[in-house]
Amino acid sequence: MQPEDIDKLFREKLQHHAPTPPDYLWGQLEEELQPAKKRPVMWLYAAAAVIALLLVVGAGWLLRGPNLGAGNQELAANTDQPPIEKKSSHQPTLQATAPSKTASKESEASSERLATVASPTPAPPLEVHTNRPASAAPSLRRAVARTTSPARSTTPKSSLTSSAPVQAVAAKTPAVAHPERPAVVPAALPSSEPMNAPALVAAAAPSGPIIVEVRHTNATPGATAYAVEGETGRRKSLGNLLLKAGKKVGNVVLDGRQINLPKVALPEVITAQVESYATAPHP
Amino acid sequence: MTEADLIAACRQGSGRAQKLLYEQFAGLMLGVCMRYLRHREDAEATMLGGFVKVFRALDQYRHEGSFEGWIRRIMVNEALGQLRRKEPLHLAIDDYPTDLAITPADAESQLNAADMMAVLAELPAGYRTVFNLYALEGYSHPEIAELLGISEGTSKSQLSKARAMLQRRLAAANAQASGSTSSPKEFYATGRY
Repeated sequence: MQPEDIDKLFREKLQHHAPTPPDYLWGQLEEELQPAKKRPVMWLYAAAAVIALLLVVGAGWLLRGPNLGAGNQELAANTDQPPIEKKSSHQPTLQATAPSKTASKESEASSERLATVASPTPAPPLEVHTNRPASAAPSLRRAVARTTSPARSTTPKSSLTSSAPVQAVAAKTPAVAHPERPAVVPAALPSSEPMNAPALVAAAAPSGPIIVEVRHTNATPGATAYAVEGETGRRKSLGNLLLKAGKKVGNVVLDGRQINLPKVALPEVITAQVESYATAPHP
Repeated sequence: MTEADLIAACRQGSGRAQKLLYEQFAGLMLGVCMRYLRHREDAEATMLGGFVKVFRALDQYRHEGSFEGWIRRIMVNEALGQLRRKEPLHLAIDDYPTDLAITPADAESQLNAADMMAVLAELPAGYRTVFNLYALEGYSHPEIAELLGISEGTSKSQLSKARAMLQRRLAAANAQASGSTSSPKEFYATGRY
């Protein structure tokens, strides 16, 4: 046998030798062939999605950026105003309530409105008050109702001066029930300035330092006010009351959706809302 | 559908045409790959890789020479690459006697293709590769030397050693096959008596 013979033998036998490949091989090959076509398309989609996302985020940031800055400025202005106004006279306290509410409304109220509110004339607050019930959510009103409870403790103490605040406190709950009232009440307020003012101040001034007043209510007729409320039945200890007060303050802030408000301004907010509702049923 | 039409359809990305082309050549190319690679799964993977290259490089096919030859060359190159990864070519090994066993030429006719493949697979990778390239693919020694990165002389000596070993193995396999399964009539026909 010549060496070339074996070459020929193998060639003849194996040249056209074609074992049947398993079926799954075509599936594998198809998988390997398909991605080559799909990949560029997928990359295009991904790139387009990323660009769109960047555009949306960028646009949102550009549009919202200035507003946020303005809001912060408003808040800063609000926090500065109340302490001064409180000491000066009664009407400013009313006005102090207005900014806090507008702020809690979280409406994109322009700085113009705030400016009008900040001005000492009684008329602008009226506008703000009338606006508030329309836009303010019921949850906010509820929050206000809760916050009145610590302030309520102040009323018995201040009842020495006049009985008006007590009535105001007693009538607070109806005011909450009817959203229309606050709109009406502030309109009547300026006319009865001398009448209401002392009572309001008495109620508002002590509410700044909440803790002191809470102690008094615990021992004094303030208990009846709590009984009326019903919800807050617990008044066993000072600690509980303090905790409640703290929670309510927190509720006000959260329900009012004004997260940006610094904690320093919280007590002022409470007094402001108390006043607004104390004045509501009074006339 | 002619081969040219099939190629054109494959170039346009028709999945159906690709499958037709694959089915037309898959068996044959699996046979080619199995001659180079000892393990079936390696041969299948090589064939797949070869077909991927065939479909990607289809635009470069100029219709010069047979399409089957073009695919076959791609497969052989793929097999050589796979071989370097899987079975390093021990081309320098020279521990086999080179003398050719003298056996009747018609004795091997009893072996079928699968037996021949088995015999081929037993060869060391270097022998097998050179023998495949020279005897079955028709490459010349200079071409083989260039493909494998060896000298021409090495290619020649590898080929002769591969032939000798194959002949011995074939004789052994043939004796085994004839001794165990062949009938007396076949013995007579093969001239053993």
